[in-house]
Amino acid sequence: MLKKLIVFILLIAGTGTLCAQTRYTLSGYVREKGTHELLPGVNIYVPSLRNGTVTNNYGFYSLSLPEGTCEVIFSYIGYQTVSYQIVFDQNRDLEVNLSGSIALSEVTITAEEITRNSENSQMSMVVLPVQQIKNIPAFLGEKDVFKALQLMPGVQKGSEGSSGLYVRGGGPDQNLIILDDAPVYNASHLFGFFSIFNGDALKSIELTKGGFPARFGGRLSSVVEMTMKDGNKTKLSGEAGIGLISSRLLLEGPIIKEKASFIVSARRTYIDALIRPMMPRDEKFGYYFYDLNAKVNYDFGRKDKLYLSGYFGRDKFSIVDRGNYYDEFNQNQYSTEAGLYWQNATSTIRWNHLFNNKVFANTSAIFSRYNLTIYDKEKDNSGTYSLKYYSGIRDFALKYDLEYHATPTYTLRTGIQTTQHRFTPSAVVEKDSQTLENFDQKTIYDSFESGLYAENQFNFGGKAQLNAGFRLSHFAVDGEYYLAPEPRMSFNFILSKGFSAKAAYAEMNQYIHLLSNTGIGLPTDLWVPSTTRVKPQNSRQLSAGLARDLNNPGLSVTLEGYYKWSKNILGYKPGASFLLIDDPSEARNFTWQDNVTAGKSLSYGAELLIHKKTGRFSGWIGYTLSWTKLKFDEINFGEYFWAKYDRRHDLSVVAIYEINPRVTLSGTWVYGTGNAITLPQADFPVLINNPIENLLGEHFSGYYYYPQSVTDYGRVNSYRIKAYHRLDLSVQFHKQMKRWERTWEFGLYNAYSRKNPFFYFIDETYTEYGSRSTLKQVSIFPIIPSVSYNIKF
Amino acid sequence: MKNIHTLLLSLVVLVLFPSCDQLISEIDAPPSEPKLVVYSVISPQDSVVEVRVYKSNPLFNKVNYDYFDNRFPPVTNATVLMSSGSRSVTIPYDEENETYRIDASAIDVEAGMHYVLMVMVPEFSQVSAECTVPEQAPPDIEITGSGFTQETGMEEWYFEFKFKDLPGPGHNYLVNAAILYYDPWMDETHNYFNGFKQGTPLVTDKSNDGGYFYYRTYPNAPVHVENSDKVWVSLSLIDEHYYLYAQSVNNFQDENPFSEPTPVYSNIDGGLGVFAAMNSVLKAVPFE
Repeated sequence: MLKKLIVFILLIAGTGTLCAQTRYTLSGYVREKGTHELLPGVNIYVPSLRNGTVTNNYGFYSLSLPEGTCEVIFSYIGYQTVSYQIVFDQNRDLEVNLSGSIALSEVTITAEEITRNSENSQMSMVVLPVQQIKNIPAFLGEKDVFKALQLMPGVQKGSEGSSGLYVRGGGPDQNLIILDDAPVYNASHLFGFFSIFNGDALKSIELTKGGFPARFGGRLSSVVEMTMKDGNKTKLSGEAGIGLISSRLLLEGPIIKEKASFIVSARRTYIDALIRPMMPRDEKFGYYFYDLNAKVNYDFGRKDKLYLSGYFGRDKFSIVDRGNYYDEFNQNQYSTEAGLYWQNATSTIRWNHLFNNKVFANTSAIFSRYNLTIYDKEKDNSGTYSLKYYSGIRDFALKYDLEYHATPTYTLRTGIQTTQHRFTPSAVVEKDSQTLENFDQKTIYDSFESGLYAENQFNFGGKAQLNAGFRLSHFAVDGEYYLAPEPRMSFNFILSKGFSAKAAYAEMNQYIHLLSNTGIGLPTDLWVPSTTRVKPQNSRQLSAGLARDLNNPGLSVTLEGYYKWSKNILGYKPGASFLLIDDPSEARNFTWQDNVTAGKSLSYGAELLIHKKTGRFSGWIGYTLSWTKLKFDEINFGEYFWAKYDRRHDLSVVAIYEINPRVTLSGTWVYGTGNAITLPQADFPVLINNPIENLLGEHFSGYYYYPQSVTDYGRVNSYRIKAYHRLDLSVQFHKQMKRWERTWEFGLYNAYSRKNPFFYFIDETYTEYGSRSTLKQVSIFPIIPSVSYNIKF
Repeated sequence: MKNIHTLLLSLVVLVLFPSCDQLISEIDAPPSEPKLVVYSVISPQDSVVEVRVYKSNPLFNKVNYDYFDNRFPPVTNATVLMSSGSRSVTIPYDEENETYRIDASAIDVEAGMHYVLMVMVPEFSQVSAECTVPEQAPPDIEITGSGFTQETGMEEWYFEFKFKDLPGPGHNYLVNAAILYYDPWMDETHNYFNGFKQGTPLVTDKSNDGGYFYYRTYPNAPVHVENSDKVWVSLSLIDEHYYLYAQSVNNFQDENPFSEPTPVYSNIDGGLGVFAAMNSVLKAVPFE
């Protein structure tokens, strides 16, 4: 079957090449007018041929066209569309500048010109305009890319406030989160309440939920690809904002005009700085997070471009306690300094090279690191004690991608990537001057993960598109080698103008795993590799759907169904705990492989998205009907059970209305079926038999029929907590000042103060006659107002 | 400046930490009725067949916080039926032992035979369970070493043994060692379970099919050695039900909110508990 497919692909490719005898190539870069920011995802369309392309991540496009005169249209959401009449009598370079940063409402385009979802073979992909993210209400006014993605169908949030993504039944560890080609391993601030991406420094955000192109690999459920802005090449500009919990600043500008530019974006919370002066001198605690994005680039000309970008973010919680204590004879002093911090760092060097107007290459060298450190230093008259616990993952990677725009009907993308992962699930150094018990232990796994891919993109005369790809993934750890072929395919058939049917198949393998206890993105979650005992996770996903672009500009409707089955999914054995925060020295006994078990999962469902990206009134309605169940030999006694975040109904309504250029109103309403949890139902006695007693005929006191009571939980995850729903509102007031544009934003999170469940617990109250247990729900966020002030210059 | 600090702090506190009481609400707990809890393990080596019957105690009811026996009094008005093939017997309640109990000859527990247990209690749905006594005899216990050791400063005795998994998959074992010794001070016989320094009482051949299982006991104290002449080892081939049940009871944790729930296995249809079977051997290991 595979051989036949390859022969078919080669034949089609060959046909395309043969037919392309009197064609010329139009190629170049598309930029934002003014800043010269390269624009990815710009739609280039030739109406007379019903053919087109989009710019790649680096703003480059290449299109082969027949001899003659053609109209070529360049369009991009949020930018003025431009059209050119071009005489094709030779190969042409065309650098296009689109008027950028105009308000969405000012875009006057026709249905012909906009990016047509129905004409793209890629399905299950969400592209979120950064401006739209900035317009929707946000918790405490902190604009958050991930929370905006959670409003899309097929994407669910975990618990209240969490920024983790649960895509088509997959867990947050199954998302490949890439920032400028670098993977990000823990994308959460403040225990998951905020994601580390604030949107200011981002140029584009794409989420792929299925039908994965072969260039992506390594995770089962989704790819979130984010590209940082390059920086304004013509003048110094920036943005700044002050919110309730953090403030942020972005600066961008030229280093060498038109040639090199930089961008720096930073954000920091300041609760600690406000509270610290009011705390006693000897007792201080604090929490903060900050993040920093920076990028510089150099444009050597049309053929070569160089980018250096980086991200660094840190959360830190610390306690200092100093004081006196008294024993029988003396006054003694003690001091304690303890805390934990977790941090992400990524950096990427990228070199774009254009071999000719049809062949584009990118080479990336990538570094990424995530680590958690817990420290404790105690000192008193009797001695000193210190403990340092560390866990983390560090990557070095090399990546090479090549695009060959062979003919108007055929584009080849191919490439290779290899990553050296160093996992440190635990490293403990403990010193105790009293007991002289010093302990130093480190567990390290080194591994190599590689992928080789090819994507063949065909266009069948404007009637259908096919992306047939193949990825070969490889993982090497401790003398164990895993090699897996991953076929990928997505197909689009145009039923009528603006209306198409799509189908896709993708197989994925995941070689690294996250051990989590709470599922709420605590920094104590640990990344570990596949090993001889723990096999790679594997999933296959089949999706099919319909895409309709309506005459109303910018309005598209997609309906998709998916069926995903995964194996070797990681689960936790009953009683497993990976939380080392209580006593990090427990890490010495940490044997994670004994605590995990492999199983399978089955997810299926349907998603409806009605998305209006442009106009004074924009927004979307997303609805998901889904089922996710899991099966592990060692959990629930081998029977299927609902995943915690199995959500039958999930609805998001997002509306943004620009009343006038000075006032923008927005609101979101979300509804989700309650999570499935395992709820204790009753106590009951258990007895343990010991055959030796019967055999000896001897009653062993205190053991035989030793009564013990345990909890009847019923079936795993058989109880549903209350449904979740919430309304958020915000209003923005914009004003053009002399030197900058300012925006006041007032928001209400959970406007009708719904008590949404965060977790349930059993409360026991005692009376003189006995005890009574009641089930209680904890909500964490009632109605929460916010205000922020932003300027853009 | 200080006023601004105070103002901002008040704002933050107001926003982030609203009254906690308002955020905790009582939820109508799902209706939960008591379930019958049945416990019975049968073996061809036993002289009696026992079935214990209790009721579970729903959490969201008012309960007396009392001794175990008072919280879970035995159910005494059950009709307990055990059958194998065409043979069926009603097991009567024995008040002295607080269990349903009958002489083993009344039902003949034999290796390879299939047994059905039904328990009927007024106002409860009937519960039932089935099990089959392992057909094979347990493997031989091979003593591989013994001797005296001074690990704790005293001269103490330990021994080592092994057994080989029976051919084929699906075998689970329960291993125990114990000593009976005469206590001259109290003038009575005492018993003592030997723990294992190497090996665990409950094992499966899932990842060691056809392989050996190795054991070494913790040393016996001089008082044991001086007042007895041997240690007993039992090896039972247990059915899957008992293996899953015993393993889940061992793993049960109640306290850690960050650990996964640890449900206890049951094969009682409509209830809780276990009806299981085992086939055992006993071996004496003299002190040498």
